[in-house]
Amino acid sequence: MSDTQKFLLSQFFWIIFQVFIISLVIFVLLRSAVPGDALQARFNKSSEKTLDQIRHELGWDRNILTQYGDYMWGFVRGDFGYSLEYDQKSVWDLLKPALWKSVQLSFAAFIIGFPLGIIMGLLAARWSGTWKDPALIGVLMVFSSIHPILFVQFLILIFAVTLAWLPISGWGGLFSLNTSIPLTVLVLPGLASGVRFTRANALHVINEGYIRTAYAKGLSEKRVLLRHVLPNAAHPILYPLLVDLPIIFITGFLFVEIEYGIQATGRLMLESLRSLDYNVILAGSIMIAIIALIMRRVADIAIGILDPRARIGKSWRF
Amino acid sequence: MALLEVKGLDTCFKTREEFVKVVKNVSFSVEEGEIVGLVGESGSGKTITALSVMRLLPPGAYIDRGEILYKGKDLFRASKQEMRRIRGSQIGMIFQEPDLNPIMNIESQLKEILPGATRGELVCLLARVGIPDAEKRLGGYPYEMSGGMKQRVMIAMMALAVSPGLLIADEPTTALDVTVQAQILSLITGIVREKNMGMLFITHNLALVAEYADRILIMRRGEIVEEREVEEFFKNPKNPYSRNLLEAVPRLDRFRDLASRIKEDAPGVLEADNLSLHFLVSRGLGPLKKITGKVRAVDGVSFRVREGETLGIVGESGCGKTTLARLILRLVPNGDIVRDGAVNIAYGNEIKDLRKNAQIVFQEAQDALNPRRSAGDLVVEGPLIQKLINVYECESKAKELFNLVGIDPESIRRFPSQFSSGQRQRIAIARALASEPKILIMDEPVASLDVSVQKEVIDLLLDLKSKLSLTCIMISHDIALVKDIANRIAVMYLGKIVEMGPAREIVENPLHPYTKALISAVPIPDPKRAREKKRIVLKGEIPSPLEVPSGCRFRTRCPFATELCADKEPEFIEYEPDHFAACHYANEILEFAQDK
Repeated sequence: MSDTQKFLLSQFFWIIFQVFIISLVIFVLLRSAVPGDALQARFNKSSEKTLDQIRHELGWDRNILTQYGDYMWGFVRGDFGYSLEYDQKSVWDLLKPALWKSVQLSFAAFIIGFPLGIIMGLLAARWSGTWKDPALIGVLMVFSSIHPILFVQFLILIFAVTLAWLPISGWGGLFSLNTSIPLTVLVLPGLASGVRFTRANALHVINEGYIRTAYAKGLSEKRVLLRHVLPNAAHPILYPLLVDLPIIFITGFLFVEIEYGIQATGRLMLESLRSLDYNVILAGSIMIAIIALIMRRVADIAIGILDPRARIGKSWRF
Repeated sequence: MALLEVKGLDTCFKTREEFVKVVKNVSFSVEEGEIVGLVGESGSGKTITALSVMRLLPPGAYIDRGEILYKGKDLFRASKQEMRRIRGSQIGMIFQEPDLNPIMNIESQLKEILPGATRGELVCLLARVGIPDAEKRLGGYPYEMSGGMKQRVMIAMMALAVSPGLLIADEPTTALDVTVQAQILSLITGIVREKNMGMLFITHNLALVAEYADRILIMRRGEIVEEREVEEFFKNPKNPYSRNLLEAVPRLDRFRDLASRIKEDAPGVLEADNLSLHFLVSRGLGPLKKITGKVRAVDGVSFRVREGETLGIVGESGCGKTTLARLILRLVPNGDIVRDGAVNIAYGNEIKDLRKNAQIVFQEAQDALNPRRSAGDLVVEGPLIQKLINVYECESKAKELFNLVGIDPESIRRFPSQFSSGQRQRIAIARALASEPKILIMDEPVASLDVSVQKEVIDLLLDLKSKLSLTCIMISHDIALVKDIANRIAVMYLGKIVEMGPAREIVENPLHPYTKALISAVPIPDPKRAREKKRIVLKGEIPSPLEVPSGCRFRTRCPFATELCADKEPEFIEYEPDHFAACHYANEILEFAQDK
């Protein structure tokens, strides 16, 4: 077995182990630490006896670890239970479209935002000392200073209402005009910090000895920037970005989802939490955890490809 | 027409407040097939001169005036495009640090300068500069190579790949060990002579110029103060500054009179008995942890230092000398280590006694002094904690210590960054001496200083040693320097002492082939003798302490190694009075030396 295969296999078992721990914690916390009783809230007119009966039917009166084992046994077979809120709809029917929208949107945001940030960061570094560098950063800072709540409203007001170029709300697939506003809100405010980070990295890299070596070899400015500065400046920003991507699922989109009327993961989770829809929260949290754990490995591998030094040592293990 | 002719070059630095001229009206030339040594101390402007020729000045620096003629073409007035075509293909440059792009493999970095080359040609190129396993190395990355190997790749790239007319080498061996230094410099100058290239050789080490250059330029504060043929210069340097510089070079053929001879019966104050420290390399976590290897940093070292004596410990980087010092002072990091043996200090072995009585001066004073606390504060911290002085005595104690090491006592409130590097090392020495220790360990105390400053600090140390009757251990990679301060020298190789004896005896009559090689690698600031000298050039580089060779650990690089050396580890035996060595053939070496 090659080293890469060994790595992938060991990581696979690590993920399973971690999912087990995370799901146990989420399960126990939801059942014991979240205030309020989901059933009581839902059936508050029923007698205590009826409630007990429902509990018994759901199996909630058993030992918590038994319940957990039962739940996970269903989970690994793809049975996530039923929603309490949406009239016996299966959890998967709710989660699947929401997760799929979130994955599409966040990857689209990454694919647009990452190169944009890197290129502008490199340009800013290249322009350092002239007026263009602070001007670029300054303009980007404006966007990051507007809170997303307002930013969505501004964009809707300008582009959807006044100019009527874009739809006012809703989801119409990844390649529809509907995604313009959500993606703008997701990419633009984060760009300022990304550009500044890349700029700082690039300035640091430009002063490294190997860049001087590259110039001394007689390489053109363009080649030095693209082949020597860019890869060295880009990889420190790629890792946190990839690792944070799953978090964007929930928090990053929340305002857009609510204000622009898209039923994706963030909104679904928020609403489920409000109505104490246990099964949706549980399955959703575990799904997000799994995606986060996988993305972490993807980030490890991506960094390993970009920077050979990262292939040795501990960064490959976790 | 000269290959390179620089006329009236002025290079300035622009800071917020002012313009600083760092190269002032410099003129010199390099002919085809000539090696010109440009010598100066740090800050003299020699690197900036070279970077001006390449037009690769750092941001803020610019050429103000002058002409830089390469084959008659003025580089100062050349366009960016023209300059790009000249760099690499006409003028190659090798830097002090062999800076290769860390995330590109060697093949792609070589291909950038030789775009059309086949893999086979590149393998030949690497083999030509003495890289073993060239085929495998080609696909490898810089982090997998030692400094010497990386410098070889740089040489392949800058001097050999396209044979430029002029090669600029800026301190190409300063970051390397002496034994590797000799290999690298013979490689570079060999290529330059063979291809009849011109070479501008920048260094702070006059001895290297004596050995390798034809003409010498001495630079001081941005100006060239002396320009001569090498032979003439070393016979009789004219400028007083050059004369001082030459005087300061540590030499193996001149001995200082170490004032206090140590009595044979002086009591031993520091004894190390079979000391060893192994770092364990492991994989996995918790119960799954597996030990996969051992780094034998220090591997069974025994010695005794007598009262008032200085023991010098010499060896290449990675031989375990610094770890040994830390082991003695119990400054070893926690973690996966195996410690063995014992240190016995006559003044008490409790940690409290140890910290009071034994102190250390580190290599980099800059890193050893907290930049956010004033120098005076740092110096008296030790005795204050040990309750040797009270708060009210701090100021007078700090002033006293500053006086002792020759720094203006009024400057106790200044911060470490406000002192020069030599002064900082003096402060570090004052810090170590503050609690009035009886034992002082110095770990490369002058390695990062200029030669002239080096000499001052060594003088200070000698002075303090006799004044305070200290017992010292001096650790250094430079045997020429150690012999000026040490009574006895121990030579370390891969965690073990291979030879130990009186300093003069070690230098003049070494018994171990490794010691012989170390001594022959020291450059001599005398062109005639340097070129006549037969040199023992060691094969390769120091092996990894993860895989120590069987039998005698030096055998993989030893010119005299036989099968016996691989089978049996030589014992550490006394061959001459007080002169020990661990070599199967020490007797033969001894007889051979006596015959001569």
